[in-house]
Amino acid sequence: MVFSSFTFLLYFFPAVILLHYFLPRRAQNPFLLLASLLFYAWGDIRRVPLFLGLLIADWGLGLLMGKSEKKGTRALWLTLGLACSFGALIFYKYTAFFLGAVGVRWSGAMDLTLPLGISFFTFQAAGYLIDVYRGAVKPEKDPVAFGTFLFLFPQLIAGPIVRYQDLSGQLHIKRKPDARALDGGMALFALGLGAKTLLANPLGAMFKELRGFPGDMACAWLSLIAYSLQIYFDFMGYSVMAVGMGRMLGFSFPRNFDHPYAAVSVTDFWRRWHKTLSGWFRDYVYIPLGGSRRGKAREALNLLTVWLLTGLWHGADWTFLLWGLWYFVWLAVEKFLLKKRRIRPALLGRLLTLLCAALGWALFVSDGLGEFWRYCQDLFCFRAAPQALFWLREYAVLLLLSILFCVPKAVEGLKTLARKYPIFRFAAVVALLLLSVASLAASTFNPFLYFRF
Amino acid sequence: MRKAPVFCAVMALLLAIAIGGALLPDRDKSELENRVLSSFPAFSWAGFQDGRWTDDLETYAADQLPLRDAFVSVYMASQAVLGKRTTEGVILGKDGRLFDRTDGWQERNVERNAGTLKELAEKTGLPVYLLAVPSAAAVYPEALPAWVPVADEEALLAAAGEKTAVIPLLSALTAAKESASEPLYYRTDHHWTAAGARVGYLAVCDALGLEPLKEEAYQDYPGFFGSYYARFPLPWLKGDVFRSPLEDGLKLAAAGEEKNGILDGEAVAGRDKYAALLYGNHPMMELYNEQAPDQTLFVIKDSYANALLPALSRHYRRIVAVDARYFTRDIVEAVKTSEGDAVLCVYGLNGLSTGRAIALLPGL
Repeated sequence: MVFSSFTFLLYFFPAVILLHYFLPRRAQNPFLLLASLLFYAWGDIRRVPLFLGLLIADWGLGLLMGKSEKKGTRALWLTLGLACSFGALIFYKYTAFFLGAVGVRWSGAMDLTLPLGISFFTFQAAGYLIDVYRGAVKPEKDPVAFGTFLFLFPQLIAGPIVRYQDLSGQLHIKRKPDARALDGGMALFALGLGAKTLLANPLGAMFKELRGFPGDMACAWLSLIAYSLQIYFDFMGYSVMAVGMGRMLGFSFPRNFDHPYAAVSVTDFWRRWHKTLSGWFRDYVYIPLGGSRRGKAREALNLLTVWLLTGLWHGADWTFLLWGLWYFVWLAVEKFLLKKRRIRPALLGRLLTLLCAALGWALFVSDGLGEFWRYCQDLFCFRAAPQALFWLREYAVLLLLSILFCVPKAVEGLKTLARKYPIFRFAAVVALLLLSVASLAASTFNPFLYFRF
Repeated sequence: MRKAPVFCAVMALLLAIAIGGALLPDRDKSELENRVLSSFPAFSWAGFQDGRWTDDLETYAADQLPLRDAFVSVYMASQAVLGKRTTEGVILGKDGRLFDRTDGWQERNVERNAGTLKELAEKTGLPVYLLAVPSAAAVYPEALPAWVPVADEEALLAAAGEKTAVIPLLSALTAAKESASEPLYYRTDHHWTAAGARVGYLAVCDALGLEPLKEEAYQDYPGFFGSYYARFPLPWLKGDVFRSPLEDGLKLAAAGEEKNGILDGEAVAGRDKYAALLYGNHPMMELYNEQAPDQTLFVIKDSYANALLPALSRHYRRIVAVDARYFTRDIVEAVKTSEGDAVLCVYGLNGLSTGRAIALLPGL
């Protein structure tokens, strides 16, 4: 089930939020776990046993680690737990790619389609196990509470990557969000839904339309701008919806995006984009590898490791590996060659960061290196026809609105307005919701035209 | 309630839509979308496992959304207000006129179709003429939004002319639009009007050596919302007035039965009135006119011909017309057995350049 579907929006979402609110404490976790399982099964029921198995293994290994005093034993349980989690991830996500890299085609009987959300699930579980191993958190004794943390539907398939300590305080109390949390959560949910349906989806259509004009440089760049905005509002929209739903359920999820396109440097960009993922890699890979404490060469190697892994986390293809490498190069340049890791003046830094991100997205969106090469040829062919002006005009309002919502000051201004005038917030949320429903209805608008048979 | 107004309002709205959808009776079909709407999918475990059932349920929820048509129109209207000019391959031009997106039209399709007509001429020994009807965008370019990418229809027609005898039409339409009192194309539909078809008729008379007759009587039917409207249903668009020729002495036979007149009374009362002409499109049909002087004309057509054939049948005792998109028999055989004196192909340039129906006719 995706958030931007009628099944979710009209039935699942109101039913779960309202029932959860009125249930007694002891029933809240079992209810949420069951609801989350249903949510997952809706998309792919065949993978539910796999996830339940991992869930039980992670829970049990956490307990074992908590009981053991010896470091060696704990390390053993941790290794086992990580092997299970990453084993499943690597098997499903990368088998075909690694085999392909050595020239073998997967012909096994097993279905290798990627289980939905496995990348987020694995990272959350692995983070938990490592934290228990380090003694940073106490292991969760209650399997239902543990399942609720790991399987919680708002963040199950598209993040943010939540850490156990973010939720543990709320897992064992009666969750009764107050009016502020309910209103604020709903406002966030509507904002996220609007970002997804009213900006990301039309931007996706724009990207597709403009990629249909090969050999036109202006169209190629417009399409790249559209994709850069699309992926942001899509991902950010989902994250914000998750945060909003979390609040309505009485949880507080970490914020995943902080105006990434306002970053002054690439380093800054990654502090603002998908923060829970970069935080995960920092805490569980970069720092354990020694971070910047073991000399420049080691630091560079650690950075390279983190970014190759980040690339691969996003997808099993050479394009994603290169995408990670691309960021490694720019981050290394900023780290080792620039004073204070940034370019002055700030405006130039911002523009270069945007350019770096956009070209990165060209790699990210391309299905294979061949397609990326063709995209690059279009981006730098220095030919354009007047039709680009038509498309610019066609999408001008969409682009302007999208860019406006990337500017921190504009968003802050709207927030202040909403705080000052509750009626404005009320009207905006209701309008966003109705327009989102309208756009979802329009996206299924499917006129049958006899003359096209 | 008073403490969390936003939460309560949105929940109330969502529940109202959900409960409304559950309580209201399901609609069988959508007049706006011209299709059957989905009904509640029967649950099956196998369907749930492979995701078909959940997909069907989502389609059902979307199809039976309360006020679905209103939601769709509101969204499309909001897009148009914010400056969007294209949807579903339709362009919103000036003064609420709609046009086809023509930028994807392919010259190789035109060449293939026209080449087949040449082959037909060789195999039957009859003269074959092509009347290719350009799009409204080519006749009224000034009504298009600035810089919109369009096909070079003149070049497409020239490409057809390389292969077979093409009756000149685009220049005649362009010349006629200044003097004509009526528009030559409908605003909400891709077809030409009676006035447009009249220009086509004169062009055909010129090519076939017929003496043009005066305009026939006609009847007007307001409230015509055509195929463009179906794809871009903006609430403020005005409908067209559909004009149908009145031909008394004419008999139409299609699918083995003789029709009552040449206009489908049921269809002309609906939204898509052009579909009423000649009772729509048939794989094969015949028009008889006992008062006509000449013998038989064989026509290969798509729907553009439906507005033109009544006028032409004043010249021919018998017109045998096959629709290239639906006709599945040997075309050479069909032409020979019709004992026609000539073959005329009346076809939208749209169909010629986006499909290969003529090229795929059996027998060639």
